[in-house]
Amino acid sequence: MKKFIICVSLLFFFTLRMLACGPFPNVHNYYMMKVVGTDNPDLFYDRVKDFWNDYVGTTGDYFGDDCAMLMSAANRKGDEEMKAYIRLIAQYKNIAARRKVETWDYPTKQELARQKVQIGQMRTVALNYKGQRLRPQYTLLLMRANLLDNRYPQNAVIWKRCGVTLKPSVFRDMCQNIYAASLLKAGQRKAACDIYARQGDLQSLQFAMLRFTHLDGIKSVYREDANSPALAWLVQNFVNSVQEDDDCERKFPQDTARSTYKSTAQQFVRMALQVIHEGANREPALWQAAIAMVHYTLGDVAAAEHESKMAMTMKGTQLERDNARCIHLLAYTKARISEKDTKTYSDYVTAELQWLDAKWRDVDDKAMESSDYFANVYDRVLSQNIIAHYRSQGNQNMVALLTGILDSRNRIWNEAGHSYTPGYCRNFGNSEYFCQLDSMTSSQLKGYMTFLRHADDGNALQRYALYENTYRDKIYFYDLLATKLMAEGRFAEAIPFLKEVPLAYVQHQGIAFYMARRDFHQSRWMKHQLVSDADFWPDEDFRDSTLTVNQKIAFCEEMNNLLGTYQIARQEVRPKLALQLASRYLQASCYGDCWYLTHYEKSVSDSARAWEKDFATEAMNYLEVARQDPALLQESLYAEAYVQMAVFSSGVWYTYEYDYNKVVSDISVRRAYDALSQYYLLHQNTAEPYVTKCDMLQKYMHP
Amino acid sequence: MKQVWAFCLLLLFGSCIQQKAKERSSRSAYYWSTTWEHTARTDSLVRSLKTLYLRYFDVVVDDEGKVMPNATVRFAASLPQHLNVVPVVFIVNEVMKRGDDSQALAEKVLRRLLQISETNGVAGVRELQIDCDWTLQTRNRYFEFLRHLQALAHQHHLILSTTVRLHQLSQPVPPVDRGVLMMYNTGDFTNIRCEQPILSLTDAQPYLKYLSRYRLKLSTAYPLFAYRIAFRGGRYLGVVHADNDLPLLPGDSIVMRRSSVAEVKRVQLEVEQLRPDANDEVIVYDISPNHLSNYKNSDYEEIYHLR
Repeated sequence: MKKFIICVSLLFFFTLRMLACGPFPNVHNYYMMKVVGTDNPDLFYDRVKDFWNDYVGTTGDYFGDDCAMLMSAANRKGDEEMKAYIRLIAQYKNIAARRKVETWDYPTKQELARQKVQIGQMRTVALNYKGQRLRPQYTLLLMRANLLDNRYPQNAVIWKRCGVTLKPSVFRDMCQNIYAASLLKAGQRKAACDIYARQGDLQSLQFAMLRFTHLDGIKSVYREDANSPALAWLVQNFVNSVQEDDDCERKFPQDTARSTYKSTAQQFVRMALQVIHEGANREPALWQAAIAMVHYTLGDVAAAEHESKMAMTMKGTQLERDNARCIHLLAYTKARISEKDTKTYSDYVTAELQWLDAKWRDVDDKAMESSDYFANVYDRVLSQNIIAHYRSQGNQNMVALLTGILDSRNRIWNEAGHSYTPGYCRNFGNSEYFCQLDSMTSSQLKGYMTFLRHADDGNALQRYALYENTYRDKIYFYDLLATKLMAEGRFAEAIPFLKEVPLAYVQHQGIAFYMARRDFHQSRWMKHQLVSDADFWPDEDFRDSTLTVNQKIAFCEEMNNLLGTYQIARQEVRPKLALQLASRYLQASCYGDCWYLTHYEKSVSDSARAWEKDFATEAMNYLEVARQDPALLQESLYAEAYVQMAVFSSGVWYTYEYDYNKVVSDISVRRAYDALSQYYLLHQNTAEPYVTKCDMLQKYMHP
Repeated sequence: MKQVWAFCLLLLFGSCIQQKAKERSSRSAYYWSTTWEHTARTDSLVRSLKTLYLRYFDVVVDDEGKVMPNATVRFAASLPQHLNVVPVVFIVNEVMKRGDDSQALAEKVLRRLLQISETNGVAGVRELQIDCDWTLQTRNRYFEFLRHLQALAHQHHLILSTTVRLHQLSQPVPPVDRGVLMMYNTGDFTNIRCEQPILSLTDAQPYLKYLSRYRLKLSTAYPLFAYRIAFRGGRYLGVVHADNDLPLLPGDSIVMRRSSVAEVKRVQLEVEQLRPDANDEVIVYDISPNHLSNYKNSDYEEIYHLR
């Protein structure tokens, strides 16, 4: 039962302050082979949209609502020819949507009959169309109508008679794509795949080549045609699969202990060398880059560096040579992780990062997209090798700076409009930049803040990174620094920085929800300030979390006063002050309700971080002073037992292995509970209810 | 007295004739394809059939983890009116591994099946059949599903049958009105040394001992089909559905696996010994165009002319 309760509690806990998808770590291990096509499943969609953009004059959902938007544009123009066509494509769209996915609702006889009539109309109108303007569109419509009736052979005929004669356009390409399906249906896999590969239709290629993706498949395709356009995709898929196998082996060594991917990969390398040697293939750069990447994945970085450099100079498509260059950057940086930082390294890496920048900006000038190859390469090289290089040098500033670049390119933060809220960011997953800064001491952070202001110093890479990292502004850093100072117990130093932070800024942090609902004057051992955060969703809750003051400032000022007073207080006054200080320290610690004063988030297994002042220990020290006053003895003993239990059971109570006996076997916990139980036995009749009715104490005394 | 003896003899003779006529097996076949279409061979075969077991659709777990229909048969031709059509739904065992509501699934399957029949003019359906390679792990859930479906089917005056694989003969009887014993796939087709993976009496024998005691009305489906298997160095590569379908290298071997009429006859006789009523209806699996070219009309006749 206990385990059940613990599991259920754990489930509840994990619903707090998290999105449904949970905080997953960022992906950095992107595939490096990318020599063909696009990952966009709507291969022709953008080009078709461009056509309609031109026609309608605005952008929008052209194909929704029976193509109403297109129809109104045609109406406006009095374009009867287009109206007739739009009516038919609306019909086609509806039938195709109905047939695309099988559902439990099978069409009725009437619906099938209606579809049959409509398909017949499409075919008739398309066949009878005598104009020139919409000829490509009507050819496509005819082939699509045939496709709905599985008339593959007829489509092959239409393509050969009409399709090939069409002028280049997206409609012609779509006709050819349907023709490829006819070829595939007729068993002409190679001819079909050649079309798919040329069109960059990876989804169709993958479907058609499903049984050819392994090494023997590649060999047979090569044997059939040494320059088959499908080879590029097959090679790309194979090399990326080697990486997938390798990743799996690292993560789950027990599952892949007998896997044969390494020997298969070596066989592939031999085959690729043979292909280059034979000279029949016109794109040796592809094969040489593939060899390099396989060697890189299998751990031979030196070979990979050499081979990728060779690939860059070989014959191949632009994308293949770019791909070789990316692999070379990956290998070059990997080989130098532990080497000293040199000008050569910095200059080369900077130039290559700028080249990658230009490449992905060329594709999409907005922000990094996971589907964008060059952006992915940038991410992988930076995160796995360049940052590792600076970490090995002990250059914490560069590590943080470069991590910041990765974060800044992650679109989620910026689109969410919460670029400056560390607590909020953590709710979206793992902000690696925040983690990096979070692990710094206040002095290190101050040093980093100074480092950020000297953009003209250092080597080329440092200058580039400083220029690129515009991710956080000074408010962000002031808030972070002040919070660190508070966690280090340097309250007076924190105040000036806190006063630089506008209340509106705090208002938009995740912690505002708690700050608006909790009071640090309460003693944690007397009352748990419960808040309803089971459905925590920051955007909505911010609105109900209006702050009138930044509680951090109030806390620092009060702690300053208390500590100052305590220092100069007479001995007999000190216990009372000590009890107050103990209470404040515990509340502001990771075990308290007001953890948000020193942290941006809370977890079930918190403890004081290495660089922090241990507030719980501090509380214990003050409680020892407090108990010297007989009037405060009862509360002090009770508080000590609470604090010791909180510290020792943090990260323990929720696990499957939770064992009460184990918790109370800790010497500090025992000592505190022994003292409290002794007090209880001596003062059973006069003790306060919080002692006499304490279930934990009763359990301890009567196990 | 002579008259009495003559009468008795006549009665005995007459009853023998009657008995023989009664025992002649009825002719049925499975049609397992995604398109129902006319070919000359199909037409001639179908003309002689009493019952056609027509696969309507599969039930699978889709990419999103939902239980959905898949590969629904397309009617490229109409069905002969004289045929007694039994719609068959194949449910992948994966569906049964999930804890979905079996009552709801039964309702959906039946509703769809009835709609397919109505839409495509398949009249006079009196029976529906479920095919599933259920295992010990999924047996309870599958049986629960069948119970729900049977109750619903009876409301529509339909009887429910299910396929019974050889290995399922040793298991409890499913809650249906009758079953069809699938007398095929007795061997391991991925093993190059297994020359008769489709049907071998030797392989079937261990299961047949349960046949006489199997408390369910049964018919038997016998295989007349073939497929090509590719092997490399004795290692299984895959089934070759069409030329160019598999990446083949020099030295690879493609082996034709074909159920032999002689072996089918041997098994038929064995079933006749053990459980003659299971041969009252002889079903051939399957007569879709893919398989017809591998056999002559006389092969089918031989299987059907059991008695």
